[in-house]
Amino acid sequence: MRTIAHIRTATGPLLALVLLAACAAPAHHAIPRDDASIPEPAYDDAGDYVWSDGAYYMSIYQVRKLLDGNWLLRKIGLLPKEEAANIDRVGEVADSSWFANRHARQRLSPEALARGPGSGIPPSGPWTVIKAKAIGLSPGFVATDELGRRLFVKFDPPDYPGMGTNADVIMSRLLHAAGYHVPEYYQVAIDPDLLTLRPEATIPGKYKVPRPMTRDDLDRILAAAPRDREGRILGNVSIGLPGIPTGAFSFLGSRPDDPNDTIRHEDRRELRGLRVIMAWFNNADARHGNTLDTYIEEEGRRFLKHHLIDFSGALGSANFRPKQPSEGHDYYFDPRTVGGSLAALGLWVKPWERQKFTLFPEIGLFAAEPFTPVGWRGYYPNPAFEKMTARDAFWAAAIVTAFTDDDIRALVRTGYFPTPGAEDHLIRTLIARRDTIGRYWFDVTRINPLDEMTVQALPDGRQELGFRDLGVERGYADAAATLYRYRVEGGDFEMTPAPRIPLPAADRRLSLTIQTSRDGGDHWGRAVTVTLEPDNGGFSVYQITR
Amino acid sequence: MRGLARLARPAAWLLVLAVALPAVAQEDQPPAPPSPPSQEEDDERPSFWKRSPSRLLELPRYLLELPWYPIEQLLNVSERVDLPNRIRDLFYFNDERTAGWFPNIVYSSSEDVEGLGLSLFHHNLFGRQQEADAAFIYKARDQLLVRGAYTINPTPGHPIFFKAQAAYVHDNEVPIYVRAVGGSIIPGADTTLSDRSSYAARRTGAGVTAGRQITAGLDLSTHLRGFRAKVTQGGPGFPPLPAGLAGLGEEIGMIGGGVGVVWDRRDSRLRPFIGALVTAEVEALAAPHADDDGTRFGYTRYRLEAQELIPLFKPHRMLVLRQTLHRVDRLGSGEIPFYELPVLDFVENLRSFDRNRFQDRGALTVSVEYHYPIWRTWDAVLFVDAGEVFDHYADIAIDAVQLSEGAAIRFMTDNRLLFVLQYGIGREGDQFLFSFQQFF
Repeated sequence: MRTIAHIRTATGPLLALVLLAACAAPAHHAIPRDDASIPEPAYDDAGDYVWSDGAYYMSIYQVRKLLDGNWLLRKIGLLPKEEAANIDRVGEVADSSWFANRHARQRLSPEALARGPGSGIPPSGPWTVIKAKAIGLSPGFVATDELGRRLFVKFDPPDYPGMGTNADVIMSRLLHAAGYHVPEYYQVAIDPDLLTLRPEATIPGKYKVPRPMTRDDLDRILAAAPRDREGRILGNVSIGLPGIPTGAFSFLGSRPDDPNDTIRHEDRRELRGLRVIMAWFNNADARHGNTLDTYIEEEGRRFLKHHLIDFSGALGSANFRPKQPSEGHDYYFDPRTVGGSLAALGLWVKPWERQKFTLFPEIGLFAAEPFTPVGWRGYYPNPAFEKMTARDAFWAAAIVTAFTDDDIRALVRTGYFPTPGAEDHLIRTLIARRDTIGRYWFDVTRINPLDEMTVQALPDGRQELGFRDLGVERGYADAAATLYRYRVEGGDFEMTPAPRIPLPAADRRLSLTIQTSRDGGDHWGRAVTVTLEPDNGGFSVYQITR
Repeated sequence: MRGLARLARPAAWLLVLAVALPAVAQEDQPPAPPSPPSQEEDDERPSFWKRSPSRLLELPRYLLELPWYPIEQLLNVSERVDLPNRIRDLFYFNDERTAGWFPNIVYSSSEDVEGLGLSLFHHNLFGRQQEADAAFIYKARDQLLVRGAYTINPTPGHPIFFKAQAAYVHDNEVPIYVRAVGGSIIPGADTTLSDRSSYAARRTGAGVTAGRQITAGLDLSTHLRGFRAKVTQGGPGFPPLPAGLAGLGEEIGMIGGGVGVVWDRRDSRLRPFIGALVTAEVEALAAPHADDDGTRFGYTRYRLEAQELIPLFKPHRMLVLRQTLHRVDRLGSGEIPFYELPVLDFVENLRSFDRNRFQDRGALTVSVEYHYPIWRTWDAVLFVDAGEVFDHYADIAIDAVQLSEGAAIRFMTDNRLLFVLQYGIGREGDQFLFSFQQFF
């Protein structure tokens, strides 16, 4: 009895905590602007973070979640999943220092896609080498051109010319079109005679201790660089971002020295949804060390702008070698995989273990199969990716599938593909992976893929709600077998085969629930609820809840 | 070492927790969409849901954050100052990392096999990939093993190979299971755990092997070797050995030679998946002089081992069948020193039995191992060993076969550092072995 009394004693506060957590009032808050002037933050030069991040996210972070009562309550379904904190009422992300809506909202031309974030014109020599590359696995150097721009030059492994560079060049253009802030990347032929070594140039010596850089050092770097068929040295050049670099941003938490940074990064939809885009391009190296904040000035305001950098771990490249079959499917150390493999006595054969692939030197190991959007993994867990919800993924899948086959061709053609069939392989693989993403995230059993809802006035004065069914529009569902059913408030469901719903007259807010069927009405998928509010005698979309 | 034993169980639990807890917590399952909202809650639903229902419930996680902070700083500094390479270079004597040292650690649940030591190596002598290795394992309780080897490997243009090796063993308590019944001494299969005794041994041995690579994977060799050993009664705590054991209480020197053949059809030496390995060795050793009471020592030895690697399915799920036969016979009227008899124990193919558990003139084992990958270059192994020792071939009987079952985790690095975590179960209990040492 005493034990029971103890349990009761302990249960009371626990229940109170659970109730306290579960009954917390919902918050309405405006998404703050993040481009107000701030003092210049200190430069964070902790390094590449790969050791601390890797160790933390593969072990401590996973155990830490078990000590988080909210996480446990969410895990057992007592609390809803934590939604992104920087979305508007229709689930969109506003333009900010993190993201700018581009191709998915306003289509870019093939030329603009190929141009990427800059002018599209590669920097040419002469260059002055100011130091050797200090971070990362690829050899390279930092130089300045005649315009005074800082150039980051790196080289692929000699046996894989174009592998990491293609990943950088193509993915930077893709991410820019998707809406992220990225540097310009170019593939250039480097003439050693146009390189001058600055006298005070340094190179990381033994144990990364800088020492004076000599012409021999530079020649050694160039000698190990890959060459094209004409024997020219192939370099991967990115142009330094404008502003003052202030270090990398973490995918967890926020920057304490940035007053504009009020939303935890793992709760930003564009960072959570980035998982879908990185899965598409198999950029397993999407991590803290491959980001950069710069302190910039725009329209008289000085604030931090947040960039993604270094994509040479995308496609089939693992920077200094082609990816191994497991990369993109397993974390470097995944206790679930190790424990599961141990317990399964070898009977658990991971799909990638039997992968058949073609390895092109300029692409590495990049295939359409096996690939599942939710089964994709980076080198180690990313907290923003882990918190991605179906709505974050839908938002990102809408961006991914906005790239047509021609868009993908335009992007891929910015790369370097001397091997016959390589370019075509990459295009086909990207199209196939994009479609896998579209089919998965536009499946009505996961989320209702109705988008861009607008109220239109009809000539007879009535109003209707129009929308785009991304599943049908992007070719992942059969329009002929698709039906929509809807009801206003608590009324009866009505059906329509067209993406238009007539609206009743009312002078108050209306709530409209829509479901979609892909089999002529036998089965209905998840609902999307649209709240309409009176607006100039008609309605406008006030809120969308998926 | 007893301290290590006490730590083994909590360490094992920590290992389980370290693997299991993160596995539970990783949340990369497909994000489940929320249930469709009911009509009643539609009007009240906020534009975006509450992010953190209660900060209070998050507090316990800071238990981990606080101790992590200094570790994080250390890791960041390590990365900046290249600490991993600085530490790695502590194990090497040259920038090419061809010469250096590694620690050797052996720990087992059998107190007779455990120790610490180090290996010294140079794997590119004279720039010709010739190898020199030396190692020792020291156990505090009067047990020391020192060995060294110099190897000239065959190269495409030079098929001759050569290896010289030497070893010194000093062990004041080598276990042995032997029973005296009447005037005769019974070793081997008929002994029980209560027959355990021990002896002290000092032994120095050396040998040279020279051979030729006939084709890729087929080596023929000849060798000369000799040793000098002095074996006496072991320490207190166990019954003394019967006085009639050949070689007990004497200092014996023996010398001899033999021939060997190695047929290696495995696809890799570090982590093979398919192929076979057959080794055979025959030798004869004799003492040049009779001892004080006129006894002459001399014996012939042959040892056969065959491994077949049977791939079950790719990648790296395979069966390994291993058969060994080890036999010594008198050379003429020569006696066989008892410590030269073949052994079956937890390091010699019967992995649940104590060190030197079974000894006789012949030892026969059959093992079946199932290997499967668990992580990158790490393999798990399930094994069943069957073996018996015998005096004459006619004594081999199915009911004398001893069985061990168990599991192991193992990997070998490019530098031939072999890591083994092994647990064997059998009729006389279980044996745990942890070994991390350079293999040569």
